[in-house]
Amino acid sequence: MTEHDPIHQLLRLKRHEQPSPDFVEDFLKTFHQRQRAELLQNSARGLLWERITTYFDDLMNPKWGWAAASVVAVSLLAFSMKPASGGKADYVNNSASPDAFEVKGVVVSPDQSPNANERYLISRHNVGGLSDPNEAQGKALPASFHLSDDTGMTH
Amino acid sequence: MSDRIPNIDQDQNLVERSQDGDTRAFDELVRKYTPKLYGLVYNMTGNREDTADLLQDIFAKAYRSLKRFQGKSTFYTWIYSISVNMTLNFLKKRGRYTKLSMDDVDSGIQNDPDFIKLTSGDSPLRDVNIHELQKRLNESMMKLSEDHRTVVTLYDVQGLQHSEISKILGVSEGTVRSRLFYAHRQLQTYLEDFIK
Repeated sequence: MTEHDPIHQLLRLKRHEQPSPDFVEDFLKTFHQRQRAELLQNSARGLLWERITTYFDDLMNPKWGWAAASVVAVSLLAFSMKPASGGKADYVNNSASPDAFEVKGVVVSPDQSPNANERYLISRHNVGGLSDPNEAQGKALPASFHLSDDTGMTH
Repeated sequence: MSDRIPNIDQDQNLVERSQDGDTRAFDELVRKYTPKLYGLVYNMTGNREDTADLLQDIFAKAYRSLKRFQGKSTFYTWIYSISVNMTLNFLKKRGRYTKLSMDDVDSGIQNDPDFIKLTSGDSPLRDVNIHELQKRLNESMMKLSEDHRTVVTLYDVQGLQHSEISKILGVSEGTVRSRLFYAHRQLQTYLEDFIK
């Protein structure tokens, strides 16, 4: 593997393979163009990044922090002031007992359901007719009404 | 061989100026190293179009990495290492497909003492066409493994010393010598009709 090695001498001839004389200047021109393109690409990326960071910086601005904290505080306050249970349960709880449930002035109108008249007539039939003077006058009856005749008997 | 080693002080100055943002200083480095690195990449790839593209990538990478270059090695070793690594990566991606596209042999070969010696007297090369010789040399080079081709290019074609090659490749000098020995033995077989 000396300088006089024929293989070495042959291979050394390869150094005469050269690109065209203006290769270096053309290469440098292409290199500059490529650098400019990369710079523009990086600028576009940088601009996008800058916009994103600015957006998040604004989002982290103290005024937005205070606003968010205020919203949370108001929500918590409203929630704590709200009654502990819902309306329906209240209604049930307020009664002493479901058995003592009292209805005052609830009007049963014969027009309330399609079968109301029919059911009413049947019930009247079972208790002895339609002699109730209230009924004859077309007055509405309380839901818990008592049907009584002149003798005072309750039916 | 020492004439092939660039002026280190001048390089250092150009590198420092480039690191400070002087693009003209980097242009000088590109001008200075393009012919040398062209020879390296061209002889490793065997294709001039690939060589031009790869050189663009090499200098672009060098430019991006220049801020991190601390001068622990010379710029010359550093840029050669980048070139070898990027070319080897390229060759791995390219696989076995190789389309040879050769550069013209300059007229200087006619006056080259090696060429005169090889083609004189009763040498088997006496009647060999230069282009035929070039084609055979390139084909033989491409038959070598990538590692062997690299050391042959750096040592035989570019004229670097074993110690320089070992620094560039990050292997021992012994490994460089061993690779060269096996590469030459292989080339002797491929080119035996030229060196009888």
